[in-house]
Amino acid sequence: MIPDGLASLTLVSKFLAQDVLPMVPRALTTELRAAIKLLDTARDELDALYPRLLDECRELLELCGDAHALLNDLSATFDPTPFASLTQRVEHEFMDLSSLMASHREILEMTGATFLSLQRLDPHPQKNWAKERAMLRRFSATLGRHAATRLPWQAVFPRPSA
Amino acid sequence: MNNGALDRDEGAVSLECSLEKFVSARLGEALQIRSLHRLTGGSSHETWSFDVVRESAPSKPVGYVLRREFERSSNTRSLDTEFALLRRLFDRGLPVARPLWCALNDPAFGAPAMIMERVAGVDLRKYLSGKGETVERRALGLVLVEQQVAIHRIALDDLSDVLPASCAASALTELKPWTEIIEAAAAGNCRPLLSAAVLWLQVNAPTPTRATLVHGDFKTNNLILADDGRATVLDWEMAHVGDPVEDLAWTLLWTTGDDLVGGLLSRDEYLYAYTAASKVPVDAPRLFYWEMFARVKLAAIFLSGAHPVSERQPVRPLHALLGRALPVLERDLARMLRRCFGNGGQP
Repeated sequence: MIPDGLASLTLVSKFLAQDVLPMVPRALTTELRAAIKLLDTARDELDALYPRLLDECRELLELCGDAHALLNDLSATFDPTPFASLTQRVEHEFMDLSSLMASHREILEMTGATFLSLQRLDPHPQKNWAKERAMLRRFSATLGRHAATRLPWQAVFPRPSA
Repeated sequence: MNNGALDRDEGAVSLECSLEKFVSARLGEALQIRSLHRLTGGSSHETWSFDVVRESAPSKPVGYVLRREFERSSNTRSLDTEFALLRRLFDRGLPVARPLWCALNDPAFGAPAMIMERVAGVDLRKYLSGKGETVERRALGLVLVEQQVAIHRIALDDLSDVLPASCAASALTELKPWTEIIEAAAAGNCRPLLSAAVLWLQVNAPTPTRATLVHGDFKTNNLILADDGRATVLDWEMAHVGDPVEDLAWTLLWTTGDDLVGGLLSRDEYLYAYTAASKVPVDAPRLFYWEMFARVKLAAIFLSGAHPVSERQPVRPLHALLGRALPVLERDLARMLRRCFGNGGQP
């Protein structure tokens, strides 16, 4: 059977580890080991990425929508155009992986800007910011959960056990 | 040890010639460079080990180490500052490698470089990973804490010409270079948790209290353990004058079985030992601040390596691998920020 893309990454990684690594000058072994780990973690990432990114896009759009409503109540108006266009793209257009990644980056930009806007309100002393703080915790929790799903795709710190 | 023919690539041969000329000119006699090989590790610089055999003492080779900066290095201190600091610390009897020469613009090395005497011993992290339970881990941990306290006790007056008063930093001054790296990397690669953590650190910077020398990277793979149980402290490139709690928070970031915290002492034991040895209690909110700072700083270091400098210099696999570990730091930052936002903006 001809190896598919993911299997090819496994194949190249094994070839580098078994046949090339013992042959390279010592000065290159650290970089080669890193390259092998990169291939392995990239394979795991690609295997799981598409549905995960799509879920994250939807979750972040919902989060931003709720936060924009809260911020608009506080007269910090957000331009609704990018939000609407990104929602349209995620919910109604077919995207290949590259397009989905680009959309995810744009949504993250919007998420970051919204998160910071909320955070900048927080030190204001004249108000009980309970709703805004709850929203800030929701941003932290959501983004923290998304980060946690990526832990198996790195090889620097101990990885979570399967 | 040299791997023989496999290590003799073009770069090594050229470097050997450069080293021979450079060291010979400084020692004022003919010599040979032997056993030149690159040591593993190092994300901000490369390190080469070599022996110098002088014509006047052919049977007594002396071990040296060359450290050469990477172009993408995120170091905030210049190499000549680090060199001057090392020389002062060595002169005062601190356990550091003896610095010999600093070459900021020598075309022979192609990048800022310095040469030090090679320290006899083993990388403590590797030693611990190989020795398992046979090491007196707790006792060794306490020795290292005392060494860290000794660094924090160095009289700053004695360093004022090396690390001038302008370096005596507030948290905001320390944060600035790392923030700039994160902001520069944010174009097309937004990291909302990092930006939120930076903003929290900017708003909640603690007032400066006790200023000390801060090593900035005190962890087991920067310690060389000699047979007599003494550890030499390497890699002073992030050393500065600042809050000693910053140093503790950085050490607390590394917690595998081969680290000081997690490997030799528990977190509580480490903090207790530091308080006992320094006679200075560790303030919990201040520690929380610097633990968040440590994650932001490490994220900035990872980011600075994971972006290409130019098309001719693509990202090295090691730097790319480090960059992929950012979510670990972001996961931690998310937990810390939740704690802050749940408690009136304070931890």
